[in-house]
Amino acid sequence: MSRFRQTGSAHGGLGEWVLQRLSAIYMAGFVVVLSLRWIAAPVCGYGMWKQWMAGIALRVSATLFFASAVIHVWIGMRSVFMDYLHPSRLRLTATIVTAMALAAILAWSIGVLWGVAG
Amino acid sequence: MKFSIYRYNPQTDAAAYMQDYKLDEDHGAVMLLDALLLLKAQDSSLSFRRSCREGVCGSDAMNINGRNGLACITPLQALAQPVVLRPLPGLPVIRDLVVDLSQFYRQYREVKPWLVNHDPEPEIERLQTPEERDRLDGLYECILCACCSTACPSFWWNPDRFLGPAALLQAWRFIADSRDQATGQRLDDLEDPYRLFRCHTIMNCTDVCPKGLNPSRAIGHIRQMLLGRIL
Repeated sequence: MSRFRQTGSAHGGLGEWVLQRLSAIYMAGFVVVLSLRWIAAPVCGYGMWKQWMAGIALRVSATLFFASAVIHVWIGMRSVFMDYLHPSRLRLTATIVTAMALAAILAWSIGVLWGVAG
Repeated sequence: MKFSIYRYNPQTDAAAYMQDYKLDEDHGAVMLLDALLLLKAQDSSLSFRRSCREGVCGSDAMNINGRNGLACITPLQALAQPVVLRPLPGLPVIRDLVVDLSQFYRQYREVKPWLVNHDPEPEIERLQTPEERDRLDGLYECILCACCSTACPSFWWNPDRFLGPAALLQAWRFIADSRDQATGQRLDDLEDPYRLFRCHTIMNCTDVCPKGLNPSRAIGHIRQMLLGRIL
């Protein structure tokens, strides 16, 4: 504890805490809106899906959804590592692997979303 | 009454063990501490802390049937038998039910639990309005028994870096105090991924507090105040 008193506060934590909540609110809202839309007008078949996904508003909002999911998972996983993985090297390795995996997932999601129209 | 009590003497025991005790005659014991004192008369090697025997000093905090509490204000009647007594979880055991609270006190000291006011000292007292004084209710009553912090999983995971609910309740107690002038500094010190933000609002602290306080709400207030600074 004395070591951390000497080094002072890391001045972090609040940003992550806020982002985690904002991303959760966005995801919850997106899921509700999308569910209502699907109930009101079901989207059936590849052709209909492709046409529906070509809409720019949907693609932007879906991109934001995946970005929110990645941010949310990143903060959550980092939290899990901070709680359970105490050896620094192990934590660093897990953090890097998670960051790479999430970046790949985000890139893949964007590729799928914006590649549909092509 | 039957008891199963955690025993450990570092000088003679290789490992801790549970020892069964039986109290044939309760001699009118009402609270758990009364029974413990009768057991102590049977076996003088049984060690535990106690002092005020009325829930004011916080010395006899222990894990009672899996839940942290004060032995002196826990009615025997309410306890399932055998009554399983263990030391407060997550802290080094000195002996039997006596734990080393040094780290807990270091965390308490970390939040500077004193009034910081640079104004000239008034002749009589620093005045508050009744409303300002009311804000301290539910905060100043903490007796530092450590029931809350040692019931907190975040404290178990990062006992050296997360301040724990007891210290954070006291941090809010001084942030909320209208006479204190170090609010910014206090918030700066708490804005850290570990000190405050390891709290996941599990709320064990609020659940076990023998004084009925709500550290979880205090932590929420600190978070709101931190948020207010950047909005």
